[in-house]
Amino acid sequence: MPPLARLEPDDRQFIVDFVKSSGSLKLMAEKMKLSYPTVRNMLDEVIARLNEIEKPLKSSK
Amino acid sequence: MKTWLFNPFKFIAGKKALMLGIGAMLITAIVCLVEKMHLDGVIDAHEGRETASYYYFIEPVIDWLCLALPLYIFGRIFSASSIRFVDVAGTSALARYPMFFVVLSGFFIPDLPHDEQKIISIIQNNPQVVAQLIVVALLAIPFMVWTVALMYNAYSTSVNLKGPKAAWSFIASFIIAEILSKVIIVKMI
Repeated sequence: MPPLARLEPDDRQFIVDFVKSSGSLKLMAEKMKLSYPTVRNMLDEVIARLNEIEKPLKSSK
Repeated sequence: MKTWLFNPFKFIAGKKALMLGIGAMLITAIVCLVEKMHLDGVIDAHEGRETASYYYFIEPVIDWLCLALPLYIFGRIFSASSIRFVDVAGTSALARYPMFFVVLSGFFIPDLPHDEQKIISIIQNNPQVVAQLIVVALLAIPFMVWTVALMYNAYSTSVNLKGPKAAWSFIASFIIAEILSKVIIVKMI
């Protein structure tokens, strides 16, 4: 299964929203009614989870 | 409600927090001027020293920047996220708003002379004054604790740090800020 598909539904939705916002955290923050650092922290957490998922895949190659 | 009280930075940061924080600092400084109370340290509030009016407005800015700068530096060192100075500066400015209530509680401080010997004599002969001072301290302490909690959450959110790394770097920043602000304010007098 591709790493993106192995993410939790909330994380996948976050990525979809991020892409739809043209990758603008500022726009995401406005849409979600959250502060810029909060949304950036959420993105960093998704990235960290993606890296965790990819780790065993990379080591098996 | 709890989030708004202890971590409003989940919703407000950057320029918005900066403007609100500066506004709160300005209002607090006006009350300080009326009350002749000095914010001569990161979370210090002292009465009795007579200075020019502009001191009341400069002191909170010194206190704020003395904390915001080390927090930003530690954030740059320890955080893997790409952090912005405006978030650290803005959220740490807004975190200072409970100091307004600390300053307000100062209105209940009894009028005491500047002479230490006279103060000791008044305290020894008037248990009512001691009780009044204890009540003021009990009123102010929760607001100071609230300020520190807000400062920590401001730092944690704006630099994306949690756990022991966040706690230790915050404590180190706080100590640096306390020393730095005291030195600058004392040299300024």
